[in-house]
Amino acid sequence: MATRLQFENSCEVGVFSKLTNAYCLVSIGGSESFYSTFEAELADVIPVVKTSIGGTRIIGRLCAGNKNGLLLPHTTTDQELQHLRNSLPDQVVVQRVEERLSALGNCIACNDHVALTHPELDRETEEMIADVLGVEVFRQTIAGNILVGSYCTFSNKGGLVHPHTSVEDLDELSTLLQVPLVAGTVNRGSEVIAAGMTVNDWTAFCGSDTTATEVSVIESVFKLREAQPSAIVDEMRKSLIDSYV
Amino acid sequence: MASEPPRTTTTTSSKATAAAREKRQRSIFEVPANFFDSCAILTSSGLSVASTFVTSTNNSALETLDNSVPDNDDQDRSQNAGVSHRCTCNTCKAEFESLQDQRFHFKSDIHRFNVKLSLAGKNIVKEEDFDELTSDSFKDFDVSSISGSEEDEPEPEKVGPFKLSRASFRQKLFIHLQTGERISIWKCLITNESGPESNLSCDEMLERLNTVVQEPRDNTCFRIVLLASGGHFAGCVFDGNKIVAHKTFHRYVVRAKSGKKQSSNDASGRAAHSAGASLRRHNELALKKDIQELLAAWKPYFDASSCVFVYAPSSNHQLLSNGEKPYFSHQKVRNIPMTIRRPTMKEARRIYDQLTQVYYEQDEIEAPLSSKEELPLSSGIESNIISSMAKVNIVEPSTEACSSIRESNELAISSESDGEGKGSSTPLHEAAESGNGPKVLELLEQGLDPCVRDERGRTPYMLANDKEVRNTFRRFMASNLDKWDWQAAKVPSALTKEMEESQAAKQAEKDAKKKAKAKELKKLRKEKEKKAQAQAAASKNTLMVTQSSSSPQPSRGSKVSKEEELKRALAAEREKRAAAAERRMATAAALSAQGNSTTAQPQSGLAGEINCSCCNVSLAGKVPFHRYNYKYCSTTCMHVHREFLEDDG
Repeated sequence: MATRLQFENSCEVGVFSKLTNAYCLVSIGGSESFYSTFEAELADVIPVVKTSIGGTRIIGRLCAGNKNGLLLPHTTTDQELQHLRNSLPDQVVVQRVEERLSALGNCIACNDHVALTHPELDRETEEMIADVLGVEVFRQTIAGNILVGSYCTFSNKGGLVHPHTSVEDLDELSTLLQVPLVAGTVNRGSEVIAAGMTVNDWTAFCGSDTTATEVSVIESVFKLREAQPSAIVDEMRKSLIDSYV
Repeated sequence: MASEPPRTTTTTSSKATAAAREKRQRSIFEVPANFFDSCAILTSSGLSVASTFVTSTNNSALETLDNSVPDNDDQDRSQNAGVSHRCTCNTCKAEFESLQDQRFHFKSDIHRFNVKLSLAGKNIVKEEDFDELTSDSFKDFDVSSISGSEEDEPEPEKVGPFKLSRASFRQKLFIHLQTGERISIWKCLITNESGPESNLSCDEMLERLNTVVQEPRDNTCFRIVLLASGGHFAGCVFDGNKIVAHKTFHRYVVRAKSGKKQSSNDASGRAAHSAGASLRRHNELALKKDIQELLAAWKPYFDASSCVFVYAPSSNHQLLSNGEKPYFSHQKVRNIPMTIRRPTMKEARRIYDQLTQVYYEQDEIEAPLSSKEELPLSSGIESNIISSMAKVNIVEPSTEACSSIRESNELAISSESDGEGKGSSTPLHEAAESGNGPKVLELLEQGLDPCVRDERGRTPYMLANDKEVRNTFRRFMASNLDKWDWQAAKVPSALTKEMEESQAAKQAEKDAKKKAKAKELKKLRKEKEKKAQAQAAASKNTLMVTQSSSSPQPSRGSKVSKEEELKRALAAEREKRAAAAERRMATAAALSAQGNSTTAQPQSGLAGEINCSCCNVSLAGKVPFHRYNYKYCSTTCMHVHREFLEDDG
């Protein structure tokens, strides 16, 4: 299910959080409600970690990660790095990257297998992405935007891209990434997809402005409904009824 | 999990031909052992005696080659037939046969480069062109993004398509196979061009080719590629097409933005003492040490190698050498005759693949080969230079006999350009270019063809930048209208005697007119000068009249210039003012004398005049110091006057 929430009156929840299949990072805010929403949804499955990056709260835009690892910009302090290393599961590699483009979240979009990156990212960073996150790295643009990390978001199940993406590009990208993609919006028409929502393989969080239509598109493309217990019953019904007869 | 978009089945014809061409180019190590058995080397220098080398004819080798290649292709296609994806790159306008190809493309340099180009609103480049691009021409879109790794040295000179073809033409070895196909390989693969082996006979070259093809692949004949520039080093040991060992290093040695290595900046005189500078210096040493250690460790490879391809521009060669004890002998070193990008393992591989490739040359060779088949032992020369070459060779002796002007080095240049260009320049070209009219006429009379074009397709007439020389051509055209095709020689029109005469007459008329005009102008100028002189004299006279009114001089009395009058008025005024000032000073002195007796009286009595209350100096034009209602010229005056008042009080 997709959850709608706000971070201190801001709907850009993707800016203030980072959700992967192995961990969730939440920025330290004035009120606890943002954190507790995540905690309620995820606590028994993956760790939800409160942190800042480089002293800022826009952690979702500054870091990039998946279940294998987490890349942090060079602005990250040693304390923050240490805190994250302590809090995250042992199999998650936490690595700081010396990259000129420090908003890694805006420059990198990834799931557990592939990553799209900003075309001007360093070679070294590209290699690091491949090594730390265990992904294949492709340099690409989304509808002419170089900030691939801002304008698309995808999990292992599906992805949402900038609404202006052409059909050809959509097909090409979905072939490249091997996940179904849909062009759409969040937060009542915002095209900055990744800022408005954060998603993993079984749940999604989007800004409270997101309309019902947008939520339904998100749930269908990221296959979030199937992740519910009722889906299993639906699938099994046939065999169950069969056994009755 | 994966979407399945409809599969596109459009394939352009150009792509098909490109694929066909590609499949025909293969590594020299993949060709059958008897590939070069029946072939002839095509020499490109027409002056050397052409030779051919034909051994036993064995066509079966080529048949097997031709058959085996398409088979592989078919297999590839059948394997990928099941995949139904849209394997394209919309940025680069390319289609791919498999997901692997597509993914490989998205990781490649060309894709990155094209993405950058398209973002900058420029046209994308095709893969074929990309290989020829130097980073010079696209500095802003540098493919290597490692900061500070910009080329340390000016890249190998910018290679335009024309220059490239010429350069590679000289550095390649063209071989005519018995089947009529023509192939080319890089010369540096088998010979050391700069060394003493530069002029190998064709027999030797073929022998070497055969040994290359028949080399055993048992780690006894290595080829090593060493690339070093801008803090990057890449070394690769190949055995045939297999990589045996490889190593790359990268150190931060190039000064960011300024470019060039720290050491070259230090050498320019002003050594920087920044932390970065010392870092770079240290890194340079460390890089050298790394490379030296690696080369030492690779000693066995070097011993077993047949050649070492080295790219180390300018000071970079120091990284590879070790003073008195070199790691590999100089005979083995070969230069790489192509543009090299940032030294990486991939780049080393690419260079090696290109160097060892057998290129099939098609199109342009068909015509001459068919004619050559009639004379089995003929020389093979690039088709389009045959005709002009022949002419040059005939003409040369005669010109040498008749000309003393031509320098020996000019000769050398001309004969060199004969060999490599498309056309060739003749003595007539030279004479026309040097502006030597009589020589041109002489050569034309000897029967030299003015229609011959040089390497750049210019006829002698086009080279003539002197009018007299051009006229020589036209005069000759007038007298020999049918001898040559003057239109082909680009001579626009004939210049007959009558035309010249009429032209001369016209010129004479023009000259006469000019002279007349000049005369008239002179006259006018003289008149004007006279008038001006007369006026000046008159003004002087009037001045004299006013100056000495008591002794009037009737001859000059009538003329007084206004300027003089003004001057006079000014002088009078000045005198008046001086007199007034004197008067004022006198009164001031009188007053001060009076003030000695009646001090402490504010000097307000004087009309409008403000004086210092202490020393009585006029305060006109000064900012006075005030105390009560006294005014002073200076603070000292003020103090003195205060004391005086206090004493008084």
